[in-house]
Amino acid sequence: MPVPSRAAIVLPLERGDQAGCTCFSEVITALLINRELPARTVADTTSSGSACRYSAVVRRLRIVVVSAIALLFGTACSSGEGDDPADGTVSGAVTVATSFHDLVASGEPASACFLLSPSARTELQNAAAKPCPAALADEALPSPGEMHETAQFGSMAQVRYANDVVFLTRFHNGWRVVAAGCTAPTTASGVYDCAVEGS
Amino acid sequence: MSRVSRFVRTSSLSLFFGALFLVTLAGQAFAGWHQVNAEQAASGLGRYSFIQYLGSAAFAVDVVENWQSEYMQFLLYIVLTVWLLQRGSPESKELDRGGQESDKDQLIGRYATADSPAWAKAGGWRTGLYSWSLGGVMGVIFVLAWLAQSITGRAAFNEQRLERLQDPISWTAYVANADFWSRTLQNWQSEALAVGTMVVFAIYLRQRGSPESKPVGAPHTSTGIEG
Repeated sequence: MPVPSRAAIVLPLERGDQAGCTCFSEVITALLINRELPARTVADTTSSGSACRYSAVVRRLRIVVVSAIALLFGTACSSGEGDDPADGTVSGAVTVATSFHDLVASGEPASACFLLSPSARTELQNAAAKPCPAALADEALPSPGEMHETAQFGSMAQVRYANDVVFLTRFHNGWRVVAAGCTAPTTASGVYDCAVEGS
Repeated sequence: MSRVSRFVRTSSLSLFFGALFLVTLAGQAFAGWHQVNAEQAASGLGRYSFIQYLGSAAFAVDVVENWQSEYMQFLLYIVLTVWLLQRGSPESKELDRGGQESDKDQLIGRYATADSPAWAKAGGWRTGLYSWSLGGVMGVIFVLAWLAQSITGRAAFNEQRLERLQDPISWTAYVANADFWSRTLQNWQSEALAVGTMVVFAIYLRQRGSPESKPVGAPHTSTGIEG
């Protein structure tokens, strides 16, 4: 996916209203998953008088920063729609699952670890006896390929790709990955065997 | 006695059960919310807000699976007591009155009285429909609640399957699944037990003043007498 020019991304400072929430989340999402911003977002934010520009100096830290902001910001933006990672609907789960895979593929496991559920992160670290980023890098998760199907039931969601199945759970601040790198069940129990797996 | 006081007194049975329904439903919601969040936390999964829980399949299925069985119970009781009898029970009609009875007994058509309901007097399909309106409405509510149980039960069951890293299943697969029938039959058996024991206990036991009991002094062999 093409990476947008960070210098062109303008973030609004007013975050009190819901429109600002959704807009800000779209920018965060675009940063998280390295894709082009929706045209509306760019136009809206460019027209904002109170704005700040991300400089090249902070570029290396951007993913960690925006991931942390997304975690905090999700609480106030849970009613947003579309690509908002804090969106409680299945589209929010898709955003997080895709972001997780994109971050792993782009060699940013530390940021990907932010998108794991606490239990998945703990189990990954305990199993590998390493910090989460190192343990996640060791797993060599497959490239997911094209997304085929999604399902959401209550606080759980499943996103099926051509080469992977990701399971997510919804927290108060958005969806988090509980299992990824899952291979099709081979036993009668129908339980997936997953490279990354929370309890 | 004021109109309000009179209304409360003359409708106390429905008012009491209406209020009890609301209080217990609220209690179920509150207790269920804590229960599901305890399970979610133990599994390392996200917790429900109270509003989310009220809109969840987990809460809905727990509510409607009981609704369907209660309406099923009353549907069967209303309809089957037209034909099925029990000697000595106040829940049964007299032993020679099995069946739908005559128009004269039922005060319909030309036997209707001045204050009979309009459709009881009307004759034809309207009287026929009205003659089955109580069982019919109970039956419709039962079917709708059972259908709702299948839909919400599938969603709740699939949430559990995703927690166990299993694929969700379709509605048709769910209604053939043991979870659906376990939820259904555990309620049906309890309704059958409660109704069956009430029919039999009422032959020999009494509750003074209750229309569900024979008068205290009525013989055990008397049937169809309510106190």
